[in-house]
Amino acid sequence: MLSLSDDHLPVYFSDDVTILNIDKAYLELSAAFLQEKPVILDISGVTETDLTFVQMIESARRQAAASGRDLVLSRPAEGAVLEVLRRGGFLDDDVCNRAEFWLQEGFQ
Amino acid sequence: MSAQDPVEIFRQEAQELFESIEQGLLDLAHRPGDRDLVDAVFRGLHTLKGSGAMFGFDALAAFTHHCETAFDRVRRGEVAATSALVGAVLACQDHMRALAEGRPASEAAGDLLLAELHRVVQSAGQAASLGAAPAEATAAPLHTWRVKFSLPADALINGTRPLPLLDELRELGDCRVTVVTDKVPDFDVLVATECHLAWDVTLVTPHGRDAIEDVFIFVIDDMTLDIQEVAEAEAAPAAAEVALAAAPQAVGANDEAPAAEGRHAKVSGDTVRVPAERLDEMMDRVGELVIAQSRLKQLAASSSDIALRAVAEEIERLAAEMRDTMMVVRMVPIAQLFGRFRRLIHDLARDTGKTIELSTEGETTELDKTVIERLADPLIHLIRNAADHGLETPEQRLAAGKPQTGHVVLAARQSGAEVVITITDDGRGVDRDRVRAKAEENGLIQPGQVLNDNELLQLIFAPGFSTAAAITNLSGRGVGMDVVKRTIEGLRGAIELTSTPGEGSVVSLRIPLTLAIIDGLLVRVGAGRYVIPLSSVEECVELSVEQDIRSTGRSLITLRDQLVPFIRLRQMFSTAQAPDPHQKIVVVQAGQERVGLVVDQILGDHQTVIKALSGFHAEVGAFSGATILGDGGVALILDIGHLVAAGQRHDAQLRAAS
Repeated sequence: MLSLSDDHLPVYFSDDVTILNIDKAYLELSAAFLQEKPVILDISGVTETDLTFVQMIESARRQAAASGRDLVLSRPAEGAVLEVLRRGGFLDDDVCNRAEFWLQEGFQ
Repeated sequence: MSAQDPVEIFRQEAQELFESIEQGLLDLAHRPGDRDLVDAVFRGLHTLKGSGAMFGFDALAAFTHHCETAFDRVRRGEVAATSALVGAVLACQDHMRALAEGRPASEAAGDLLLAELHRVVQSAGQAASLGAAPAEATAAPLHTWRVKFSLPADALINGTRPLPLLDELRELGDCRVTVVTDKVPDFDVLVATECHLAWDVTLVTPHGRDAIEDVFIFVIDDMTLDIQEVAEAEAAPAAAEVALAAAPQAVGANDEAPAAEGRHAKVSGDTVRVPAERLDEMMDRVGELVIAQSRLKQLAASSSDIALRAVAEEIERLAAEMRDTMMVVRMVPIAQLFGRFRRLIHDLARDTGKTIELSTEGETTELDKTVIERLADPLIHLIRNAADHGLETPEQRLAAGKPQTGHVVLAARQSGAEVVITITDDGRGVDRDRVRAKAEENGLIQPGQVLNDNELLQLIFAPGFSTAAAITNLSGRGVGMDVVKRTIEGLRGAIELTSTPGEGSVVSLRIPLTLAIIDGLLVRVGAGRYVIPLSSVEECVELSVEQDIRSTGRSLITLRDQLVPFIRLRQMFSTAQAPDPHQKIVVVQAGQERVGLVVDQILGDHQTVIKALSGFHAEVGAFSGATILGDGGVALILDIGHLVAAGQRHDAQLRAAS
């Protein structure tokens, strides 16, 4: 697990995060993005999810990387999120440090 | 229903899949060794499962999986396609339909069906192992396919679920899936519900292109899909990302061209799927247009403005063309209806222990879609009747010197503005003595009452005749032939029965092509105006004052050496006004019968938009509906079948009296 530092702004996602409420999740992440702090996502409480959630975080991750901002997960993806990543082919590719981001392979 | 409702789209598509699976299974019962049929059924089940999962029909997908597995074993030659297996899968299909349509389907009932399926598969497996060696399907060569696809941005919000698509691809073989995120917008401008992902899949499988395309069958119209064999892909590099909708199969294996052609029609916009209610709405609008045009025509006729008249004529022509076009759009081949009955006959044969063969003729005959929908129940009843009560058991048939297999023939043909549908069986025919006994028992006729053969057979259609398990009713359905007759008459049609003892029966249904707009002959009787369907009109003759006086009390005219009874509509409608000095007789025909209708004046032809009568007037037998005229008045539409029957009765009474 990644250790939290005080300057990281935590954003928590839990329970169901699917296309039905992805707009709300987007607003929460946008609010964090407006601040200049690095962002740490805690997705360990997500019990059901779909591609919209993974796509949103992928989009945020890429933009953060491009602008030199720090966006990390508090712990490796697991459960429902890992299942979507696996089925969706997010882990079969080694481009863009994707697997490193989601599985924190670089940190473990 | 919204046209964009993905669940409804799935249900419509699933309906077609069910029909194709069912036809395949029924054909397989006759040709169990037909490899193409086995493949077709398997592909249908496979697609149903995958698409069901994709659209959230998880219970359907899970249940279908078992049937698919069973047929996979048939495909591999491990299990024989026995009639028991076909029957078990057909039974399972009913359960699947319920799951797809959202009807109640108990899990326990599903489990029982699956238990039976597994039992049948096991015993069919033993049969196969005693027979030929397994087919060489398992040894089919492996292909490596590169599959690239992306979905429209609104795919997710419309209910498409890409993950089950990927799961299905994985089921086809060894699969490496890579998501492509190049098109995903920056977070700032992302619309989170949209789909901007694409996938690049490498698949090693014994399956061909068809199997891969089947995975995408429900979304193929809107997506971008590129399938290439890896060897080809290397020969023709990246240029080949082809939008399937624009140029499907641009790069593909030549030997699969015919299969691809069928798909072209579906994706290239040759046909458009439109919700039926939109057609109904459009038909209503055309009806209103015809009425408005009729008013315009009337106004123009009373005007001396030549320009107005010219425009009115132009609009009349356009409205007529639009009406005709609309009629054609609503027409569907009766094959859609006949196709359902193969399964019915299969089930009836199983339930009754009879050997029954169904033949169909004239399946390309077209009828208004509304009429077709409303014909389904009466036809089911008539076919059940023919199979259940008309046909004898194999032993009885052999004893009667007939072939063991009973035949039911379902035929359709167009005859003028009507379609004639006949249901013919080569069974025992109607037992007149039992009909008479039953009618007497139910008080429909007096004991010993004299009836001709036609009258006797007509008793079968009388309410109250067939409520018990007897000659024409079907156990468990609680529907009699009177209901069938009422339904047919509700379609402005007619039903006739002929039967030869020992040889079989023929039920003929005469159904108008459409229920919406007809060409009519507008007539006046007293102060009232009435419409006679033009398709029934044979000729018009004048009834001179002398003839009128001479025929009083007799009501018969001689037309080309034939006596034709006629009805004075003035009397029938109790018109108080004095008759016109130049009355006309409109001779109409229904089936083989003719009758003359005496009217005061023939006003001309009239495009008649049929409006149903209210429930309050439903029992007025002489009229089948009403229409609005150009001046805003209302004309009643005469029910020719009813009037001809009344004329024939009147004629019979006169003959009896003389």
